[in-house]
Amino acid sequence: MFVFQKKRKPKHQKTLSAMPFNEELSDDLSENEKIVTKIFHNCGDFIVRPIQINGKPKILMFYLEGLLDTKNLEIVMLKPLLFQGLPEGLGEITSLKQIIDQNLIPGSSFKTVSKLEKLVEGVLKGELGIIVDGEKNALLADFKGMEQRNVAEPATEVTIRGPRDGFTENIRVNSSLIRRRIRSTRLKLELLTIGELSRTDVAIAYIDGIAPESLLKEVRSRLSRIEIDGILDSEYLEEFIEDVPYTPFPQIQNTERPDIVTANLLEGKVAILVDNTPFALIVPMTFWSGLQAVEDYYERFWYTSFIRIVRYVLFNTTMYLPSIYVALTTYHPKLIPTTLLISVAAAREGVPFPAIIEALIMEFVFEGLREAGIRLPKAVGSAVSIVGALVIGQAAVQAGIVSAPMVIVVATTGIASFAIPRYNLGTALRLVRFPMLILAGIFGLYGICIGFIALTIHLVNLRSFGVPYFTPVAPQIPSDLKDVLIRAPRWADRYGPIFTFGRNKQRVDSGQMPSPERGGADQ
Amino acid sequence: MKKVFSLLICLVILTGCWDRKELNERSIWLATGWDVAEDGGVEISGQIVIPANVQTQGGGGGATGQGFFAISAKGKDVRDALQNMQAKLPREAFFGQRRVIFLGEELAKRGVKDKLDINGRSADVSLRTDIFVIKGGTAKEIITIANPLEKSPVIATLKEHQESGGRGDTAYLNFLTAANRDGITPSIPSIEITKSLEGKAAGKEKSPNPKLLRLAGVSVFDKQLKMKGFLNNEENRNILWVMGFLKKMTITIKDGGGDKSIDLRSIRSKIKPTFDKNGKPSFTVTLTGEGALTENNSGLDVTYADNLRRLEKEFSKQAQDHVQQTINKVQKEYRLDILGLGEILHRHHPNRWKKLKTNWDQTFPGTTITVQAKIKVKQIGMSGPSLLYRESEIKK
Repeated sequence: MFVFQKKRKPKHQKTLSAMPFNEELSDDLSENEKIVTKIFHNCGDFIVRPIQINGKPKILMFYLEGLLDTKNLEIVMLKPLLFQGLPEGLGEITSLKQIIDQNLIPGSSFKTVSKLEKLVEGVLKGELGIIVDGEKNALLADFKGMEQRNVAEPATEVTIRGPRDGFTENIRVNSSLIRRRIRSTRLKLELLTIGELSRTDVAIAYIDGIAPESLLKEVRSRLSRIEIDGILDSEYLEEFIEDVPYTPFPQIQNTERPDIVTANLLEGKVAILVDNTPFALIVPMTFWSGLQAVEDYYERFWYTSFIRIVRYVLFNTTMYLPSIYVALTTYHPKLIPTTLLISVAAAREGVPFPAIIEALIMEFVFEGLREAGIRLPKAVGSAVSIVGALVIGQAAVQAGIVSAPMVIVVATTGIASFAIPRYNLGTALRLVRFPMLILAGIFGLYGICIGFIALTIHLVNLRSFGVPYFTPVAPQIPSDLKDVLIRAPRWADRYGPIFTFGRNKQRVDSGQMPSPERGGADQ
Repeated sequence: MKKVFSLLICLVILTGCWDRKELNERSIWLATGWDVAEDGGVEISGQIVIPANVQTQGGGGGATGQGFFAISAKGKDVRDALQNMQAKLPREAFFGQRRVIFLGEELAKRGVKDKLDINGRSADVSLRTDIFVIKGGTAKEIITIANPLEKSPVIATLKEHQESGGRGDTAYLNFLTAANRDGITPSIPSIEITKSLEGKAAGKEKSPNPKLLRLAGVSVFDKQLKMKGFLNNEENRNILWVMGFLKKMTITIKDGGGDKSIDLRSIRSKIKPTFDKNGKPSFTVTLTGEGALTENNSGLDVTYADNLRRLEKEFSKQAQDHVQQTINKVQKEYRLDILGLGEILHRHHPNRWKKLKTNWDQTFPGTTITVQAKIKVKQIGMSGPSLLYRESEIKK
């Protein structure tokens, strides 16, 4: 790790920080126009629209094209001012106050700003700036209407049953998707701006009274420490605020589903929404939440419990199957049932490589196929699967370069790794698999045991915002185990996770198990 | 960080690739045979899998040729013989999957006490292995005989042993525990060469009437681990029943009015030692068995409970008599406690056993052993009387 720690160099000059504005707004309209056009010099999308009233330039409107709804602007602002004239009896417009007070503009959100900096910031956000002759203050009107993607089904987290809306790139839309699910004033959205140049909106979402104050404080302080030029995705934040940077395992959950965010908020966790990305962050994350899918909560608990156990098995398959295969065939063939061993031996007959090399080659090829499958344009995508299936799967076996059992093992492992609901946990596993394989190739089962112990030690040492990664298994919290290996029915799992939800609170009232004594429709 | 590195280095230095061996560098032995070599040493023979012939690869036609081959070499002991053998074997011998040990009859007669140590010493081999004495033959001979159903004939013998209710792959372990205790003398299942169709000359290997290996009862050893003789299959079953190893058995009553058979599945045995005034031990063996009536060639209608009870009594009587005869034979002919009654005594009366232990071999042949059998019919099958009988002939 010392590689990454360089000696402290003298601090670079900060090029990131916003340029300070020396000028101040004056009460002369033409003066102001000069100032504004100077600030937005060479910004091709900057548009200034002076409006004359009674022949004299009176109002100056300016905005960045594309960030606001021009059509709306024309109807709401320009038409009445230019063609229809002001309502009778109002006289001349002398102040900004008058515009608002006398409801001259039927816009929804206005604010008066006196500082040039605020004015510029507002315009950059997509608001309409209005300056009136003879006024030192300016007006910002909200006509935001950027082109954006519609709310659609999230591509990465698909369900059979359950809501189908996903986050978009617009933080306002995203927050509204959460707000629609929690119609309470206790749902709070604290706004921050991060990124010196990008000025990205970031919102900390939580439910007041449920999310622990200590966690909130930690989130706020970690976020406020970030100094960076721009934020393009929530992952940028993730790397700054996670507890242990040197681990392949994710300590912050991400999702593009508002229902997942809402469910976690109800459990007392905190979500971080970032503008321009559909992925929201949820802290703290535990290892087990990496193995829980949304659908677990939308299907009957029997099926969910079963599928969870399947997932745990697949998890271990991903981690250990190739290693165990290599270890058993090269070090401990005694442990394989005779008939199976003979089959494996027959398949390995004539394979030129040792099992460990064979496994590494195949794993490598599989990772390559997977990567190519994602990156290739859709039109060529099918070519990859054909090449993968035919060339790697069949031809290589027939040519005697790899053995058939190895192909089966690698394919099973690959499929198993995709059965893990959180994609970033799956990628971590795929990474860890390689050292495990090498350990198995050098030390056999002994190596796998060492790898297992080392991995377990590493995992239990991880923290996510102070919450141990293996909660509630280690440290063990019996009441929280109802949602780990199995999912208890909702009326039985009455409490939230202790680390975030706290004690002495309950989510579900007691005694709600349906039964004839509770009365039915016909009573 | 330094700690982690030193740990890693320790891992590499202190252990290492000590037994890394690819599967295609090993020759998988399924069986080892022991025979007497002319010079007094041993001749070791092995049955080795030919993996390429066992499995069909990629659907490219059926397997060609045998799935195994046999190899043998002489030496002073097993390792010596193996060293001699390695000169003609391109791959390292791997005994981890060895399922069966064959002992030639001649070797068994001369004694195996100073021959079989390697089976308990090597970390490679498993103690869970079947063992056979070859009745009237040598291991070398047996190890070449193919089985038409199983790719490896050795697995076939193991399965034969298990399917006929024997000790299966615990046979060697049983032999070992008997060999080093006072109250029991060892016995080893035996096997012989026969052919598919009885009474006809055996054909070639791929003919419909090939040579086969058949379970031939049990061989009796004395304390010096020298073989004293054989008991046949039926006697073997009776003895296993008393010892509690038997898993299934069919009893047939010979009856003028039509033979009847019962397939016993749930078989148990209980041995109770008692002492008379002089401190002379005697044993009561209680045998129980439950099973299905699988054949009833008589007109007896077994849907009637009375008939069934009578039938059960007949079966019990027959089992009782046969087991008693076998025990008497063991007591008189071999005078060796292969039933392990001494061990039973040891367990029930450890103090008395201390006195009896020293000359148990002399006491055993004169001990009274009473056998009681209780057989229950649990299922009678699809019909009451045989369907071939007319109404008037049926005994109700």
